[in-house]
Amino acid sequence: MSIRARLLLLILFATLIPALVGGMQFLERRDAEIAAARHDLAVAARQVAQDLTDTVRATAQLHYGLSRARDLDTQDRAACSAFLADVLKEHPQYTGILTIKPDGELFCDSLRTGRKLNLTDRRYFQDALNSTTPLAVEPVFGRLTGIAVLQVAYAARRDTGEPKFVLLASLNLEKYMQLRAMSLPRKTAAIALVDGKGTVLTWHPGGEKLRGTSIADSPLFHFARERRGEELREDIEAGGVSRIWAVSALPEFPEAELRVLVGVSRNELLAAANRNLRQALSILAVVSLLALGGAWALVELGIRRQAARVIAAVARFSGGDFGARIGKPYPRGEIGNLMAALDHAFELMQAQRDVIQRLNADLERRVAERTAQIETSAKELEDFTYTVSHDLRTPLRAIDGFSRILEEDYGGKLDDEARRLIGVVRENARKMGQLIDDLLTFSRLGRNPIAAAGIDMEALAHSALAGIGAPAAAGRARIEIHPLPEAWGDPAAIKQVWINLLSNAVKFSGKREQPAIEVSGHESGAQSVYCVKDNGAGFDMRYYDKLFGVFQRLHGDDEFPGTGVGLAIVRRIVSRHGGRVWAEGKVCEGAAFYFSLPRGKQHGHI
Amino acid sequence: MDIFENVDILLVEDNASDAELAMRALRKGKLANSITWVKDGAQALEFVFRTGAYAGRPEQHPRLILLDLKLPKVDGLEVLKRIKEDERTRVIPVVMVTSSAEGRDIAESYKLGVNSYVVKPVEFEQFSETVAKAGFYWMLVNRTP
Repeated sequence: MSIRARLLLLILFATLIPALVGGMQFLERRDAEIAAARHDLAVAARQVAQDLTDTVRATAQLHYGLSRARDLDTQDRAACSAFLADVLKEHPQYTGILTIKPDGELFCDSLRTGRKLNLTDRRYFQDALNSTTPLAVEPVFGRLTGIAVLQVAYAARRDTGEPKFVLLASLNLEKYMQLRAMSLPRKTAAIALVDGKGTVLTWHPGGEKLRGTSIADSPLFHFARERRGEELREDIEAGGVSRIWAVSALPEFPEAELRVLVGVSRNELLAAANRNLRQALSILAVVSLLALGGAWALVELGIRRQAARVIAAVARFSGGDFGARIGKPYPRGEIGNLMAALDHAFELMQAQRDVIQRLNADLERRVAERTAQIETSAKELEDFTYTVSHDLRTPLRAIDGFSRILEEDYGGKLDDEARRLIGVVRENARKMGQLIDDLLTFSRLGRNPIAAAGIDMEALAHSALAGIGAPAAAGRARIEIHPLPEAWGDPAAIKQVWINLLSNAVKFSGKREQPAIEVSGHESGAQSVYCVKDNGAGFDMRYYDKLFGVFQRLHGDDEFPGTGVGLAIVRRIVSRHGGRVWAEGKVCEGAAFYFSLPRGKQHGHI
Repeated sequence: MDIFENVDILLVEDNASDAELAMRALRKGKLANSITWVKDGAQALEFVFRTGAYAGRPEQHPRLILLDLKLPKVDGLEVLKRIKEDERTRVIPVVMVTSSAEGRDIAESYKLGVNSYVVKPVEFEQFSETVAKAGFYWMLVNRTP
């Protein structure tokens, strides 16, 4: 996972926790708002109930005042009706005001219709006359108008306690409640008034159809009947809308069994709180997004792009662009320090590389110089050997030739001593020729390329032994060639090694009565080691250094003839094959010559 | 200059001793009536192409040229090259008689069209024999009709 992803995740978590806390607080606030709204609902219901109570009281006071008015204490029905009509004009909240005689006959009537009506059976009449309090309240529907009114009856009595008449004022509940409904704060609010039997007295707004119907079986009425205080009930469906309801009774007038119901659509009640919540959550989301965006920009510009710069520079550097640098360290702090440190390291590496390049160039130049020198030397050596082969032999040929001519042409005039002396001259000329030939052979060894192949060394050793010709002593000499391991090299050159070593062994053991020559070999690591051992004259290990030198001899020529080139040739051939030559010897006891050769193909030039 | 009229063998040899030995060997083998000896490559070319000191020589090619490799002025390989390049002289057998047994000299000589290559041995007998054999063979092959 990249640093950017990690950091963004970290910031996401960091903003998530405050967002969660904030969200929970907002939820709590919403709950509080809902509770407040419910409380408001209950208060509204109580307020309406209280207002209605106050209105009834005011009506009672009006009745009390009217009961003492002389205009009503008369038998002039028309006059008192006119009076009441005047009163009604002052109190438009009533649909009518009238007096009822104790026998139940309607007497004064604000409507002044002159109708005859016996109201004995009305409950408010009975209650007003017969109960301990003179005031009686009963909600009813107007017989003519069909709208709900609250009959407020008052029994007026004489000082003797005898009933004088019953005053009745009909409070227009429909109008009264309509006004209340208009003052309700909420759009979906509904206000209703029901009586003790479950009949809807008023329902606002838009409750014309419900008016007069019974909701006795509905949950709303059960709720209204059971809860007498400021109670709330949610989700009661009435009038087709699900609302939260608050109910309030009129405790001062329990006989009226009135219930004020105020309801608000649950959605509306929650809507405001939800709107607030949404607003708060939106702000929170915007803030979180801004924080995330800011963090992303910070990470992108401050870390990701800078890391990309570092990676790109390192990649270029690794790709061979040693001039690659990260550049200006940014941002300050760890990343900037890292950039500066890397650039410094690049600087050092480039400097070191420059040094190495310079050294390499120098080395190459020196190698080229040395090679040129070597080539020059090789050329000089070649010229030298060419000269040797051509020029040194010419005088020898003259010495030999003219000695011979002297012998041929003047042999008769020479005595034996003169002829012997000529023989010595010719012998030395021949020896000199041999020396030159050996020297040429030796110098050619360094120049001819090696044609390497796998060699059957045993067969090669036998072939070399046959090639040196059966020496005079071969008859009595015991020559034994053991099984030999294979080797890798130039067969012609290696055969020369065998020839030189075997002829040496034959030569130096020739003076033994029973010459013994033993050839053996074994494998040693990646090389094969061979040994030619004889019981001849041997050599003194003190002079070991001279053993393989050119023209170096450990024996006199008269004792064992030779030019001193054979072992030098052996060493040169073997070392050119990547092998090694060494020897052990003891004077008069014999010598053992060892050489090693690679057994398998050599990598590189040999 | 009657001596040139009868040229059988042209010996090109800068070393007087070798020249004397070679001539002795050839005479002893009775191979040549006439041997002309020149000491360097330039003289050899003048003789073969009848220029310079040999401008007046009659037009008759030697039947065999014994040519040393290492010569003053113009070396043996150059002489060989010039003789073998020329239509008129190409037919003359040329035998390299030299001390050099170097492979590159032998290879170069054959490339240029030498007829034989003989390495001079140090010992007189071998030398005489070698020179005589080479002379005999080529004189025989190149017998004038």
